[in-house]
Order: sequence, then C-alpha cells, then structure tokens
Amino acid sequence: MQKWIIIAIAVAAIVIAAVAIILSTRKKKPADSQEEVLPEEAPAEETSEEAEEESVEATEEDETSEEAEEEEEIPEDELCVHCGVKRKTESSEYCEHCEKELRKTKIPVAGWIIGFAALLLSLFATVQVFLVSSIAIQSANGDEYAAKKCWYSAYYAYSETSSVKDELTSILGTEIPFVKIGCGLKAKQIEAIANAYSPLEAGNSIGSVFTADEDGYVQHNKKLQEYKKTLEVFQSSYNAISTAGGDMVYDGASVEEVEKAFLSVKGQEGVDDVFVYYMICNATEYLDGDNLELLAEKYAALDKTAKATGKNYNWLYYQDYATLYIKMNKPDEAIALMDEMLKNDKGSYTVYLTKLRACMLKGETDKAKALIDEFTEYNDTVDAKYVLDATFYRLSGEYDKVKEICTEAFETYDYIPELHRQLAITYLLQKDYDNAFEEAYAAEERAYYLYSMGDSSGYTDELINTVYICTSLAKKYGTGESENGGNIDSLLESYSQEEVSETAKNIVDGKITVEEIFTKGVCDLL
Amino acid sequence: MRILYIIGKLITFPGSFIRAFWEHLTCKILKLPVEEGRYIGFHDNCGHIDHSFATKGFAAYLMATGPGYMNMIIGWPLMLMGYINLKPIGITPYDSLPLFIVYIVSYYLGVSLLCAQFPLVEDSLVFWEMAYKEKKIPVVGRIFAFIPALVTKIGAYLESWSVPVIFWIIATVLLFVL
Repeated sequence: MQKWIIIAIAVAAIVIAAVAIILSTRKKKPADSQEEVLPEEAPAEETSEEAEEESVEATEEDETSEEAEEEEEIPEDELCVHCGVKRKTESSEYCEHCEKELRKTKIPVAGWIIGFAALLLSLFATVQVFLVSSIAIQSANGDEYAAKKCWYSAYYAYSETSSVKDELTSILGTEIPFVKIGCGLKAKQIEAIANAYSPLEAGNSIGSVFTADEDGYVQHNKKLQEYKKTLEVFQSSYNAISTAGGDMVYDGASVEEVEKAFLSVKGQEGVDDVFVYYMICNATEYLDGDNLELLAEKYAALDKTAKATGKNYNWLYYQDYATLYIKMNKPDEAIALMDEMLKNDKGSYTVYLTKLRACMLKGETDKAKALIDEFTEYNDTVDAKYVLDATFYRLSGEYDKVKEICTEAFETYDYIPELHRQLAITYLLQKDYDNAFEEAYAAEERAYYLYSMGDSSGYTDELINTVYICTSLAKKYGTGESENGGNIDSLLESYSQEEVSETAKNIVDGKITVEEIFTKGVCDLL
Repeated sequence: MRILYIIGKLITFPGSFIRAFWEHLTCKILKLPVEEGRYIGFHDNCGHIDHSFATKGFAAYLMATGPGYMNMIIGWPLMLMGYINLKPIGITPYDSLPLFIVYIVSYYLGVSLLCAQFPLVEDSLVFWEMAYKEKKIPVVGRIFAFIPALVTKIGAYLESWSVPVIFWIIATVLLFVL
C-alpha cells in the first residue's frame, strides 16, 4: 500500500514538474485570453510608445471634447493604470474605455470546462461518500478499538462492515463498483482476529475473508503471510506428532511414553518445538488431568521453550496455564500471566474472567469488582459484563443479586448460554433442582442454537458438565413438573459417559457435594 | 516568500486554477474589470486573477470569500472520497487499480482545492478595511461577516506563505503513513 502511495506521489510530482515547465515557457508569451478580449490593445510586453500610438488611434474615434482633454497634460497619478494615457475615472483605477473593455475579459474555455468538471466530480464524490460513510464509520470504530487494544470489539466492528455493505447493496438493488470493502480493511479484520483469538485463527480466516482474486494482496502482505505460516507450521507440527504417536493417547499409553513419542519429532523440518510441548501438555491433561504437579511440570517446559524462541506465544498457552495455577491454588501466578495477556488485549473477556476467579480465590473481592469496572471501561460489550457480574456475585455468595442480574440481562441477552449456566449453578446451590434444570436446559438450548449458527463456543466442558449435573440431580431430587421436566430423561440419554468429567459423575453419585465444587477453590468445573 | 508561495501554488495547481476560475466568474458577475486572465504561472498572482477592487461592501465580501467557499464546497467531498476509500475502507491496487488511481487523484484534487481557499492578502484587506475600519457596511452585516472575514484575512496571510500546502502535506503523511 505504502509503495503504491509513493509511486502515485512520484507520478504526481512528475506531472507537477511538467506543468510547471510548460507554464514557465509560456510566461514569455502574451496571455491568450488577453489577445482574445482586447484585440485592439497592446500586449502586456509592448513598449509604452506602442501603447501610446494605439491609444491615439482609439481616441480618433472618440468625441471631440475628449480629444481636447487628451491634449492636456495629465498628472501621472491620475493616469489609467491599464493604458497609461487617459485619465482614470473617479471611482476606478481605469479610464472609462479600459474599464469597459476589461470587464469583457473572457473566461478561458479551459476554465469553464475544468471548473464545471470539478463541480460534477464533487457532486459524484458527495454521493459516493454518503454511500460508503456507514462502512467507513464502522471501520473507524474498529480502528478506535484497535488503538485501545480492545481487539474483540475491533474485530466485531470490522466484521460488521461486510453486513453494512451487503445491506447497502440490497437497498441499491445492485452491486456498485464504488461501494466495496478493500483489502486494507480485510487485513485489519484479520489482525484483530489474530489479537483477539490467535494467529492460528487469523491464518485460518484468511481464506474466508479474502477472495481468490485478492490473493495477490495476501501474498504481498507480510503480516498475513506470517499468520498463514504460523498456521502451516502448527498443522505440520500436529501432523508430525500424530504420525509419531497421536494414537498412543487413546491407546492407553502413559504420559512418559506419549511424551517420548512427541519429542521424537523435535527439530524436524516444518515442526515448531513450542507446538510439540503444547501438545504434550494437552496429552498430559487428557491422560492424567488430575495430576496437577505433573501438568505444571509440562507447562513449565513449554513456557521455557516458548520464551527461548523470543517470539510471543502467550496466545497459545497462557490461558490454560493460568487456569492450572488457579486449580493449584496459586492465584498470584495466574494473575501475573493474565496481566501479561492484558498488555496486548485489553478487551479479552476470558482473560478478565480468569483474573476475576484468581482474585476471588485470593479473597480480594474489591479487586475482583474493580476488574469488572476496568473491563467495562475498555469494552462496549454489555453482555460480557453481565456474565462477569453474575460470576462475581455467585462466587461472592450473593445469589439474589445473581438472579437479579440474570433477569435483567435476559431482557436483551437471553441467547447467552453462560448466563443461564451461572443461574443454574445458583439454583443448584439453593437446592432448587427444578429451576436449576430449567436454566441448565435453557443453557443447552442456547448453546445448540449458537452451534447451529456456526459458533461452537457455547459448548464448553463447564456447560456440558453443569447441564449433566443439574439434569441428573433434578431427576433425583426434583419434582419433574417444571416446564421442560418431561425432557430430563431424553437429555440424560444424549450424554455419553466419555464427555462427562469425573467431578460431575462424583457430584451426581453423591461422593462430592455441590458446595465443595461451586463454593470452594476454583468454584467451578474447570 | 514569493518562491514559496509559487511553489505551493504549482504543487496544488488544479485547486489554484479552479480558484482563479471562480474568482474570474465572480468578477464577471460583479462586473469588475479583470486585467490578467492567466490563472497559473510564475507570477505573484499565481492562482488568482488581477482584478480591480470592489467598491461596494457585499461585492468586496463576495470577492474575498466567494471563490474560497466554492473551493471548499468542491474540495471537501473530493478529499473525503479519496481519504475514506483509501484509509478506512482500505482500497488497494489489488482491489482495482483504476479505482485506486481515481481515489488518489480525488484526494489530491480535494487537497489542492482546500489549499487554495483564501484570496490574496490585498483582496481580504479590501473588505476588512471597508467593513471594520471605514465602517461602510451596516452593523448587522459587520457582525455576520466578522468570523468569515477574520478567517479569510488570517487564511490569506497563511496562504501567502504556503502554510495550507505544508499543513496538508504533513496531514497526509500522518493520515496515511503513520
């Protein structure tokens, strides 16, 4: 983009220089317009004698009284500034004759053409600016959020430009070449995705945001290439690991065996060691998730490898690492990691939520509340604030406040599964099993709706396990007469034992109490 | 100063030319004698025309501000069309080379028009002196014309040093490059 701007400026400079040269050569000639307007008059460069001769000729045609006046000597300061022969009038710098003639000075044809062409162009520009202004405003909003490092809001604003453009096209009834979204804006959208989610997500989105015709821009843009390369390296690392021992994870191998197999691909071409260590962490969590010390060891190795590269891999594992620290009752370490993430993204709801949990674990209720205010300061997303509020009050044990917040939020944001989940846990803690089931059922429905719209973010492990617990306990202790009580059995049948966590099974089996999980330590099914 | 002024005018020659055209047209409408019909060149009046001063208040006001208003009305949409499409909407040569060129030209035209909004210092002073020194204009007129006349007077001084051109060059760099 900058290269093209420089080329355009260079071309403009050449044109300006050429025009300047042409104009400077024209300077020696008399002005065309003057020749046209005053054919009988002398050109500007004529000598005063010539001017005098011509003016004498002109006076021959005048009245005799004027001839007499001509013969008198006129003081220099009273002479017409144009002809320099006749006396100027009282109200002007010119004699009557010159003033009359100079009023007739013609506007050059080029002047008319260029002047009115500019007027028409400006009219067109006004219409064009009016048409694209809504897209530009959305983009400017995105820029504003990006400048504040609120990447999710920036991404949302940038992605809205496509909807605005589509709406505009449908209103106009046709696709107009002057109403389009440029590659520059699409690149900003990808950058927002990279910062709000991950470079992997950004690399993955390039194909859907850019069309095949715009491939030239993608090839040219260094950042986009970087995201694509990160995704490629991740995929090739994943493939190498899968080949080396992917099946071992599901075949009952131990963590050590899996780790050894995974580490064998280290240093291979197209394999990033950081991704190898990350996948070791994932495999360890899958195989021996309750062994927090072992998991912490693996994350420490990942952290060391990532930091040794000098590149930023925070987006890859900091969130999981912080959650592990919270589980290990090490909130300070979790807060430090989340603070590091907030330096790059001030608008991340999940980072604030993790930090809020860590603060609550430390017993710093005021700090946790202040976090919600900080989040609100950087974000216009009211729905996320409701979730943070509901989580905060549930963790504080203010259950009536949770109900109040959720009731208020449902008026506008009924579609958010997490709000229904928080309310379900609240009812569960109050031993209101029917309402706990109803809210869990609602959470499941909302998550399914989002999933059907292509957004699978609603189906978290926490949601699946909460719905399982609420449904199972409602079957055990509820009346079964609530609105959706008839669906309890069918909902439970839809669960496979593999997708339900041990903690959830233990709660249902009565080995752990609901209070132990939801009011102590992490206070959730993390 | 003269060199700086002429360089500024030549860099933004489309705007200077169009401004001179509006000035000429205004003279025609007000029946003011015009001595020099050459709009652009290496002369002190580059971007303006050599005309005699208006003797009536409204005519002097129109001569001082009219062509500038016209340039402003035409210049802003053109500049905005170029800027909005190149920066927030992000049109690049990869989207469409002709469109990209249209927007660059539009931005340049717009800026060049906005760089030629003010009259020559003498023209701005004619109205100023007539209105606020000789007080030849009714009080109501003087009140309403004060801000435009003041802006025009200051703008004319600044333009004689090519300040608007320098301002727009810096603004363009800040808007696009940074």
